[in-house]
Amino acid sequence: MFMARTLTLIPLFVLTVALPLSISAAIVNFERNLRLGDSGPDVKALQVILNANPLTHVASSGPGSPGDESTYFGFLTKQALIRYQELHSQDILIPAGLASGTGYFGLLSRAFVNSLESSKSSGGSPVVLAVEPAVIERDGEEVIIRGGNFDSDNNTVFIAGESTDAFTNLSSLDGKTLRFVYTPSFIAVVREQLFKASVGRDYQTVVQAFGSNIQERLPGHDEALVALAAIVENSNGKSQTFNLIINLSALLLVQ
Amino acid sequence: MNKIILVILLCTLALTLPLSPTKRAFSTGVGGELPFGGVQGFTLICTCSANTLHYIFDYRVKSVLPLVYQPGVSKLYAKWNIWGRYFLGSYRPGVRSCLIFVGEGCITIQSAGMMGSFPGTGTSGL
Repeated sequence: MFMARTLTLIPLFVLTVALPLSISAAIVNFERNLRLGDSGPDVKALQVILNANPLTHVASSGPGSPGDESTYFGFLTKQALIRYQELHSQDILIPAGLASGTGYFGLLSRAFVNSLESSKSSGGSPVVLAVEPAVIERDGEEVIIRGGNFDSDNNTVFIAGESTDAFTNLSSLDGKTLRFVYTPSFIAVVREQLFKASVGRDYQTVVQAFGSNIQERLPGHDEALVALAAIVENSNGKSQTFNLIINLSALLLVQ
Repeated sequence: MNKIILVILLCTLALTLPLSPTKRAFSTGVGGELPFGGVQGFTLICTCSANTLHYIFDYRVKSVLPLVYQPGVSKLYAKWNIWGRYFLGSYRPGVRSCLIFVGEGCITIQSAGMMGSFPGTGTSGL
């Protein structure tokens, strides 16, 4: 009897030790570092997390795309992870003294993702998983924040460069989405500056020069994409810092 | 540790200013400077004028102030950290612009003023 029970438990024990991540009620906890060439169920779990945000999709179709995540950490996973790390640079890169993503899923990256996953299950602080649209290109665009632990009302979104009372009393019917209309406050100021500065010059050329000189501009894009740090706050606490990405070039060229 | 000291310094400044006898003088400008405080959106690097232009939502006037940071002139607190998210300090209105290179020459991007030295500017570093 004892022998039979022991034999039954052995595969369970082996399975528990062998799995490099814990999965409980769809909440994952990464327990090893991941790099190019690795494989396993934790790689697939990582791809699912990367695919939650259109800006960090592993692939748009085929293996690695949303719903078709794979267990192999290939080049596409590395590139998506680099974008993810740069989107969450305040929590992952800056504490390590890094300016750009590495594509290595190490201690800080794991800690950040694990804390997000933990928040999802704990009923604790708000957690932000994705922002739509991935890039804001028009005035007055509706922004949707997807995540969890949002209150039914009285959620506040704080955005760098904006008033603290600009996005307050936001409601969330499902506790997972927040919606608000966003026009960056500084756009009108910059437009006026550039109209004055471009007298006798081509406005579009001036906008391009302006965009190319922005310190916080995201690398690797032709247009001036700027990350604005933001957080969600409600009665449960504060979310992690996340970024709203705006296309400054497009916003400035709209008359 | 240094960040904590800087945050305490900024909080102390924010709390004591309304109680200070200098409040009246400060609100009308000390040394020709006005107080400001708020959160930064982004920074423009001014390639022709060797300074930077910071777009800061000023909680005091509830609008965006594009302020020049001029190395060697603008005074900074503590860690001399200009690359923080929150700013608190003073600026001199109508002084300094940001010049950027476009095509064959430089163009002027007007500012609301220059971060000054009465008492100067500090950042959160966060």
